[in-house]
Amino acid sequence: MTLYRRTSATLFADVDQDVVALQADRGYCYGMEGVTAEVWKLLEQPADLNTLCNRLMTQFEVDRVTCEADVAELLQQMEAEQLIERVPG
Amino acid sequence: MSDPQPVPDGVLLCTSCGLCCTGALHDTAALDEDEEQAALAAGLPVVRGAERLDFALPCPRLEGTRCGIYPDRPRVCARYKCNLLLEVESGALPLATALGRVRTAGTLLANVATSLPAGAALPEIRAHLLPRTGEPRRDHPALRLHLTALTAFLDRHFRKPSEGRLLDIRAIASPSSGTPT
Repeated sequence: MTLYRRTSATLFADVDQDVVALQADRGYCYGMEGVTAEVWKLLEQPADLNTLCNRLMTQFEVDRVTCEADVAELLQQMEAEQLIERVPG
Repeated sequence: MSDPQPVPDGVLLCTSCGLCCTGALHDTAALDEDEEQAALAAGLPVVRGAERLDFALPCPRLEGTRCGIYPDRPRVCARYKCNLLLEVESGALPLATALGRVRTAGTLLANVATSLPAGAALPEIRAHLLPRTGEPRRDHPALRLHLTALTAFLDRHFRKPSEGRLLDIRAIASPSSGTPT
């Protein structure tokens, strides 16, 4: 089970339903909307893919297979941008 | 005695906002050639470039959210309509929603203002902290976050598509699947 958490170098602000984030080490700004913003909010606490999907499936009309594939891709993007990291196990 | 005329939604919106005068949406406003003397007399910071005449924003004649020289304001100020106003005037956006966005922008602007160095204007701080070219800045992270949040919100709701965006922001793409339950 891989847990993900926000990196300490990422600052963020809620703007209406969206999230604006700043990766302070790299200097880049990011906009997150919809499911992406929701995943970011859920990562307030470290979470794994299964936990994230359990929560998202109560909020969005999506089946588990699709949800897991989409969220895994999303986590990969966020990790590549150093917005989140894996919790050392 | 006739009943008072209802105030048009657009007037209510603009007099509650004033953001286009603050430098949050634009760095400068264009003047016509024959407006230079009047603008100087009104105390506007006139900037003569190679090809155009402007005055720098924020406008020193902004009083709260209203124009202090309204009857004599430059033509560009009379002509300008932001995206939010156009949406309200076209009926695409209810006034209450637009006023909510103005309030949100006001909060985001206040967040920036609390971190802004004394005497710094929004256009100059935006140029410094959110450069459009070259390497992104890494200093003043808190101010940069507030400025990013404000600018992203204004780009989305206030600036017209034809004006382009002030901020280069990276989108973390949302999955296309899944609609809110």
